[in-house]
This record gives sequence, structure tokens and C-alpha cells, in this order.
Amino acid sequence: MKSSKQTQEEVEQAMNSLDNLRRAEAPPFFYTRLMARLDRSEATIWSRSMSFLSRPTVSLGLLFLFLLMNGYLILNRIGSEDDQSPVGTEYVAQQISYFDNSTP
Amino acid sequence: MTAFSTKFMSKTDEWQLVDRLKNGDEAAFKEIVESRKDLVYNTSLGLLQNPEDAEDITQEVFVKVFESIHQFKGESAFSTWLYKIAVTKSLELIRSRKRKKRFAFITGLFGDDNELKHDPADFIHPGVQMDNRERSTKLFQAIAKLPENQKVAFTLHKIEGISYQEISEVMKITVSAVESLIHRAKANLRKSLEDYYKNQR
Repeated sequence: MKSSKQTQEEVEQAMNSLDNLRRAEAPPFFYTRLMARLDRSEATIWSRSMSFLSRPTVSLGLLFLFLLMNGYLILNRIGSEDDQSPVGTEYVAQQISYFDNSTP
Repeated sequence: MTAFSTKFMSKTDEWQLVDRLKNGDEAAFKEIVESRKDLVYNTSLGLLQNPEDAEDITQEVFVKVFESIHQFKGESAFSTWLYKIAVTKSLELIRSRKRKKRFAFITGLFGDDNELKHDPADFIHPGVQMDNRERSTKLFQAIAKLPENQKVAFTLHKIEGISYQEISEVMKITVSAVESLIHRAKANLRKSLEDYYKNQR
């Protein structure tokens, strides 16, 4: 065991051991490696999104959604045509009566 | 304490570079990396105490800068923003390592093959003077045991040599809180070193 004074001296020396510290430098060719990593991460984002889309559940889900939207639009269109048909007939009838009345 | 000068001489130059990077200028990005890589590397190295991890985090920091430069509004200095990212990413790595270590310990108890990793080898900072190497190793071991906030404040102050004002901006706390953190960090380090040297033959 050491004396208290000796211990305190060593503690203070250790506490001051980072005085006049030189800043650590990044390893050589850091920028080249960084650019390679950036390229990799861009490629990873693209390949990750493609692999996500190519999953059977995702692609079938998207296909089902597409068909559902198509079906909805078709049914909506048929419905609106049905709604418009009486107006169309009325309009035609009005036109016929107009021409009938206007002819001498 | 050592204060390191940066290669940026004026705020205008810094802003011009940031603007150029925002416009997608790759040369500006290279200039930023080349002039600030040591700042980020030294900060990460001080916190992580491992050169490979520090390089990895430094790369992550610049990837983040490249991807999120539009989020930098200039409310603080660019270097402060870099310190913030470096500290956050380094702490994330330390936390994930701790979680893995705990998990390995638990699975080890239940007879899994996961081996408990030993503590990393003694860390020697490359910038330490030759005659201080051994003592600084003991100091770094004690720094690693400090609570997170104390570790960050002490590392930024002692290893990067930045002012209390800038540390307060990086950590988003008041200057007096920084003073208090560093004071407590020093007290904890002294106690830890005292325990070590007292029991040494």
C-alpha cells in the first residue's frame, strides 16, 4: 500500500496526463472511404426499396389495391351514367318537342 | 486543456461552404470533410476509446451531414452542429454496446453459446505525450466509468479543448450546468484514480 501523499501525487499526475494533448487525426484516405460508404448507402436504399416491393405479400397487396380501385372507379362510373340517363331522356324528349313545335 | 484551431477562418467562409453544399456542390462537401474530419474523429475517439469505432462514427457523422444539410439553419456554429451529431452517434453506439453486453451476460447465464466479451484493451490516445501514456490510460479507464453527461462535458473540454459556452450549446444546457458537470466529473475521476493507486503495490 502507498502513502496518502504518494497516492495524491499519482492521482494529480494522472489527472494532468491529458494536458498538451495533440488532436487525433482521422486515418489517411478518409474521404475516399467516406465516398465509398455514401455510394453504398445510396445503393442500399434503392435495393432495399426494390426488395421490399418485390415481396409477394407487398406486390400482391398492391395488385389487389389496384384492382379494388379500378373496380370502384368502374362501378362509380356506371352508377353516375345510370343517374344521368333520365336527364338525358328528358333532354332528348324536350329537343324533339322543340323541333316538332318549331317546324311550320 | 488544449484548444484546437479550425481551418475555417471566418463565419462567412463557413456559410458559403454550407450554402454550396446545400446546392449539391461535391467540392464543398470535400472541403468540409477535409477541414473538419479531425474535429469529429477526435471527439468520437475520446468518447469511444477505440480507433475503428471512432472512424466508423466519423463516417456516419459526415453521411448525416450530407443527407441533412438542409436541416442546418445556422442557429449555432457549424462546428457546434458537428459536435452534437458526433456526441449523439457516439453515445448511441456506447448504449447499444452496453445493451448487447447485458444481453450476452443474461444468455450466458442460461447456457447459451454467446461468450461474454471482455473489456477492450487499454486505450492510448495517439495525441498523448510519450511520458504520460501509462497515466492517461488509467485516466481514460476512469472516464469510461463516468455518467454519460459528465463524460461528454469532460471529454469535450479536456480532449477537444472547447469552451464551456460551446459545450453548453452542444449539450443544450446552461454554462453553470456545464461547470457543475465538469466539477463532478473531476471529483469522480479523482476518487476512481485514488482507489486504483491506493491498492497498487
